[in-house]
Amino acid sequence: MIDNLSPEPEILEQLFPFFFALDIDLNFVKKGKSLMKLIPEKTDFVQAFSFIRPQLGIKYTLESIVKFQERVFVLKVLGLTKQVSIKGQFIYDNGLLFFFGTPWIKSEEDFENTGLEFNDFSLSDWTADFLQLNKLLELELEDKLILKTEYEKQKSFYEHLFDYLPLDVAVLNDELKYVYINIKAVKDEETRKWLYGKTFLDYTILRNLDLAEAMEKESQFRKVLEDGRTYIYEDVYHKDTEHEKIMFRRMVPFKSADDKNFILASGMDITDLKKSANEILLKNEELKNINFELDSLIYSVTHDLRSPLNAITGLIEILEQENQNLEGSTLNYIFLIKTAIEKLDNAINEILDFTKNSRSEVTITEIELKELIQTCFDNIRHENKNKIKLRIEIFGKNQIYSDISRLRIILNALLSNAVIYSRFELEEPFIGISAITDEKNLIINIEDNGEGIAEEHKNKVFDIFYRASRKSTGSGQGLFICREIVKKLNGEISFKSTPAVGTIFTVKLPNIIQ
Amino acid sequence: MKKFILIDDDPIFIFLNKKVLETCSCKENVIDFTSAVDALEHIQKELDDDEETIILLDIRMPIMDGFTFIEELKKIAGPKISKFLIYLLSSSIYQADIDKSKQYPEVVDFLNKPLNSEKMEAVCRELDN
Repeated sequence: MIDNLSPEPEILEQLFPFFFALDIDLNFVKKGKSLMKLIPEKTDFVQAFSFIRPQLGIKYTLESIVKFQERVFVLKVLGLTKQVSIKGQFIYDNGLLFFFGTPWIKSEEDFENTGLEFNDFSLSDWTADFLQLNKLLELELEDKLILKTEYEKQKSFYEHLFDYLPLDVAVLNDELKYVYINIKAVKDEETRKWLYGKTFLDYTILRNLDLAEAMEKESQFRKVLEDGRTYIYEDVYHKDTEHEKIMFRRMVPFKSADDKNFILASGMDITDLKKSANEILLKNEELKNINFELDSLIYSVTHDLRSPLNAITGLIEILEQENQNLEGSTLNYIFLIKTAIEKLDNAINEILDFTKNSRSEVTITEIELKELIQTCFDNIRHENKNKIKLRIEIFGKNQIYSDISRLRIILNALLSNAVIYSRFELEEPFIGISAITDEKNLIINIEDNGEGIAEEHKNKVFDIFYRASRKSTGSGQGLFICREIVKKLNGEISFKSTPAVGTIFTVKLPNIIQ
Repeated sequence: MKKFILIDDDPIFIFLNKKVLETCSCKENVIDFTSAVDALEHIQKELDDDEETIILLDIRMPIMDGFTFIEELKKIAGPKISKFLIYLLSSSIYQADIDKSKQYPEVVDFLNKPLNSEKMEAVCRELDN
């Protein structure tokens, strides 16, 4: 039975193409066909192999090898340019020492240049599978390596980017420990590296800074994590010294893709910004004060001017009342005094109007436009006013919405100019006012057939204190104030004029319907 | 009987206002002061008098201005403040003054200086109503 089971040498060779059998003197009796590719015909065992495993205590004797029979043997095939080892086991049977094994191939590299081919291995040998598998693994490893390099490159790119930002940047994890700090935030590399995994409190202790303040800040940081609210604060260093530095810091909650909580901390040096802002504030305050003083001065000066003027007016009225039969030159003198008073009064009014425009807020109310125009015209005092034919036409609604006191000043100025510069020698001097009102705007045209504005004066009439005509009675502020007020009301003013024909002033104002 | 009190630091306006009042239908008992402090003293003395008193009061005056005068008057008059009707007079009427006067129910109106018979007649008609 047992004899029947012993495989024929041909079967052995098929199963173990690298097998060999030795006699008791360790001479080759039989070599497998694949082994023969590695070992020349007439080489004996000692010349053919050296022991790699076991190494200590093994000798080239039958006795010694049999002693290690239970162990795995690795034999190095000698005399090859490409090193090949064979791994397997010895079995002693009936005067013959058999070795069954296969080349120890651990990688593609081990296989290359051995002169062996896949069909040199038996079908049951897994070396080929192993090589295949190994190749796959190697490829995967290679991919991973490439990915890792790419990842490292990107990581360093972004970290570098942060280093060049003109901002202090740090990231704290959910234990309030630093996981990232850019160079701008902490220049000293040693400190920076030390800080990783440490807290703000650790840093405070290291630097021997205010611990109580740091603890308060840490509790705020914790709130950023817990409530997800941004915490903003300012740090002032070297306060009230030449080197004072103010940092604007912002702690923003940040959730990573894997749902971990972080704080993204950034800090910006706002020392210069703060300084210039403070300067602007101071300057503003100063300007406000100067403005206020100037206005107060104008008010009290105009009041002080007007008070005696009113006294004179009142006295003249009484003089006239008490002396009903004045005549000739006395009457003329009184008339001249009154004219002079009126001129002075107008000048004071203009100064006041201008101050009022720059000082007071725009207040919008409903205005009956036609009535307002009529009143303004009625209030104009001029000896020849009655000769002028006035025509007012409103296209659209008569109720408009604007700032009545400002609109009154505009109308007063334009209407009194129209009266003053009328050509009373004409058959019919006239002032025609047409207003077009709609939902958004009101356009008022004031037309006269007066003396007109000469070409050389046209681009100067809106200048302050500019007086283009001998007939000018005011201080040369009328049109200047008009333009300022129109500006304040976000409107436009323009005119067309032909000397000795007439002038049309056009004012466009927003109709602020409430 | 109505009583008029004129308060103005400028004697010319006192003179003018008295003249205007003389020509007026409601010319009656007129007393004048160039100082609000003196006026207050006078009013205190005659506080028991129940007759209606019209005060023509200048706003801008040295030492005590018109508004301070009203404050002081309220203090000394107590419930008798109701017999006083005040007209504020000014050479130039400022919105700020108008706004301020709204706090005082005693102020009937603002009048532009100088007063004249026309304006005064209007006041008299208002008072008669």
